[in-house]
Amino acid sequence: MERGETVKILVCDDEADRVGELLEQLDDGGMADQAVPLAGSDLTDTLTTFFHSVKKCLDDPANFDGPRAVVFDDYDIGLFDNRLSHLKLGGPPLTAEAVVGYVRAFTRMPYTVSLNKNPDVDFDLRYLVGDYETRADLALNTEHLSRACLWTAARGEGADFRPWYWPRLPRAAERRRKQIELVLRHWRDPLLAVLQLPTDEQSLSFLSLHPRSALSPNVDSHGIEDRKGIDELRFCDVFLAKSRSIPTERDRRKISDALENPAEVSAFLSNLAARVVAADLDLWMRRDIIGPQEMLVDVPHLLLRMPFLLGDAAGDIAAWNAAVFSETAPFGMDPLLYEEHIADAVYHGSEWVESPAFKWPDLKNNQKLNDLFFLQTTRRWADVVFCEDTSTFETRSVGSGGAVVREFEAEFEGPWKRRFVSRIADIQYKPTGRLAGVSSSH
Amino acid sequence: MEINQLMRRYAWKGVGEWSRADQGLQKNAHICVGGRIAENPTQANLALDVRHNNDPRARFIPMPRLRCPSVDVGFFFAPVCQGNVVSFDLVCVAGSICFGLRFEPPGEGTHRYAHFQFTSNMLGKAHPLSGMPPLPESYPAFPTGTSDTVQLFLYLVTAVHGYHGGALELLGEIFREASMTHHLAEYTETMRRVLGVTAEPGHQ
Repeated sequence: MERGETVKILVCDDEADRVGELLEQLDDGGMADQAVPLAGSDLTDTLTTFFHSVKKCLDDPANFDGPRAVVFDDYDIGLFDNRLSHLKLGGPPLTAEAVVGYVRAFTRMPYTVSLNKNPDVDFDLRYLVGDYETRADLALNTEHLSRACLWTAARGEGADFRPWYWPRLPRAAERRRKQIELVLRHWRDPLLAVLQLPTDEQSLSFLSLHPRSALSPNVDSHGIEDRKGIDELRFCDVFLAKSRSIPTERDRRKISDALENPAEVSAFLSNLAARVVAADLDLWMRRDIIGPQEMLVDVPHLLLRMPFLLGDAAGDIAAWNAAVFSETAPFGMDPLLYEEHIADAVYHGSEWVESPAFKWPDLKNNQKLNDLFFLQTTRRWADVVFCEDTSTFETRSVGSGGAVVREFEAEFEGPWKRRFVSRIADIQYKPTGRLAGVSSSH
Repeated sequence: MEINQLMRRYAWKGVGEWSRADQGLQKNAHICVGGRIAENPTQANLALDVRHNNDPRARFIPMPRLRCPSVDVGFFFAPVCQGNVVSFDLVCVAGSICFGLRFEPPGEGTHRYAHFQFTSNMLGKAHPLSGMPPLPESYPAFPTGTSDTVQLFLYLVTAVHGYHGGALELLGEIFREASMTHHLAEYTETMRRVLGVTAEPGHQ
C-alpha cells in the first residue's frame, strides 16, 4: 500500500469501541499511524470547553480576545462520527453536523469530515459532490476510509470504487490553508476575479442560475437596481449570506459588524471569517463550478468533448485513462494541439480545484478548435464514456468487470448533466431515480 | 447512436430550452397547437413512441433554438405510419400565427412520392392548428426523394437550423453531451451527402 502524505488526523466518536472500527478502516487505507482518537469523556470534556469559548465569542465578538487552545487546532483533518448521542453534554443528542461548523470557524483545523450521516449512500447521483447539505467539508461512511484514493495517488486496478468527486484528503487540507490565506488577503475584493474565474459577460453566461445565486441571495443577474451581479460579489458578502458554519444570522451579523473596523478587529475574528468563507467557496466550486462542467472543464470531460486532443492516440482507451490523473502539461494531450489551443485556457486557481481544469468558454469560442472537431473522422476516436464512480474511461457497453455502464442524469441545470457510472456491486448509488429512464445503450 | 435515440436527445434539448422560454411565447404556442406540448423529457419520450396521431400521448415536441429570425419556436412530431416508415410534422410559431408542414413517405393517390406539404391537421383532424393563415394544404407537395427516417430528420433539422452554425453544431452538441462523439460521423457524413454540401468549416 502506497503511504499517504503525512497528515494529522483526529478521530472523534462518542464511544471508544466505535473509534476502534474507524481506526481499523484507516489502517486498511494506510493511515492508522497518523490518526489519533478522541472519544467518550475526553471528547465530552473537549467539546464542553470548546463550546464555552464559542459562546463567549458570539456574546461579544468585538471584545473577544481569542479562545483557549483546543486539541482541534493541532490536527489537519477531523473525522467526526455523526452519531454522538452518547456524549454526556446535556441537551438533545449531539451529531457531528452540530459540531463541525463551529470547529471550522473557531479552530485552526482546516478540514472536517462527517461520518455516517447517510449510511445508505455511497455515491451521489444528484450533484456529484457527496452530501451537499453537510456542514462538514465532506460526508463519508466508515467503510470509505479504507479506500486508498482518499489518502494517496494510488489508482488500483479496474473497477475500483473511486468517485471522481472525492478529494485526496491530505491535499484538500493543504489547499484549504491556501484558500484561507487568499480569502484573508482579499476580504473586500470581488471574489470571482480573485478566484481567477472569467468575469466577462459572455463567460458568465455559461453559468446556470444556481451557481449565480448560490453564494448570496443578493446576487442578481438581471440588472435590478441595488442588487449585485456575481462579478461584484465580495468575500465579505458571502460570510453574511451562508449559514453552514455559523447557523444564526444574528451571530454572523455580530461578527460581520465587528469586522467592519479593520483597525480594531482581532486577528482571530478575521481568520474565523476567512475560514468560514473559504469552506463555503470550496463547496461552491465543487457543487456549482466543477460539478456542472460549464465554466470550468477538467481533463476527462474535456477529452469527451474534444477527443481529437489526444492526437493519434484518440483511438486507444489506455491513452484516455493515462490522461485522467495527469497533473502536468500537456495532461496526456497531443503536445502541439495543447500548446496551440489549450494552454491559454488553463485555470490557474489551483487552490480551488482537485485536478487540472480549463476555462470552457474560451475553448468553446475557439473557432479553430471547433473546426478541428468537425474535420476529424470521429470513428477513429475510442467509443468510451467516463465513469464518475471509478474515475476511469470504459467502453460504452461494457465496463471493467463485465458490468454494463449506466447513464444517469445529474441534477445540474446546464447541458452536461448526463454522466455515467460503472454500477459496482455492493455500492449504493442514490437517488436511484436518477438512473431510471435513461438508456445506456446507443 | 440510433435515430430514435438521436431524436430523443434532440427532443430533450428542445424541452429544456422550452421550459425557460418567455411566458408570452409559451402562451401563443399553446393556443396554436391546442395545448398539446411535451413539457418535460418523459412526455417527449412518450410522444416519440406513439404510432398514430390520435394516440392520447401524442404531443408536439419543442425544438431547440431555431435559426429562422421571424419564427419564435418550432415543434415536431414523428408518428409512424405505413409500417415502420416515419412521417414528420413541423409546426413553426411566430407570434400568434403558425404554420404546419408534413414530411411524408409515398402515399396513395397522386402523392405516390415522398414529399412535404403545408397542413393544418396535426395530431388528428380533431385538433387543427389555430392561427394558421389560409395556405394550400395538398399542393404544392414538394418532392423530398426519400422515405428514410434518418434523412427526413436531417432535412427537418437543417430546414429550421441551417447547416453550418446550425444543424451541424447542434448535432455536435448532442453527441458531446451524450459522450458519443465517436458516432457523430454516421450522421454528419449522411448529412453532407444528402444535402450536397461541398464546402466545410475551416475550408472556406
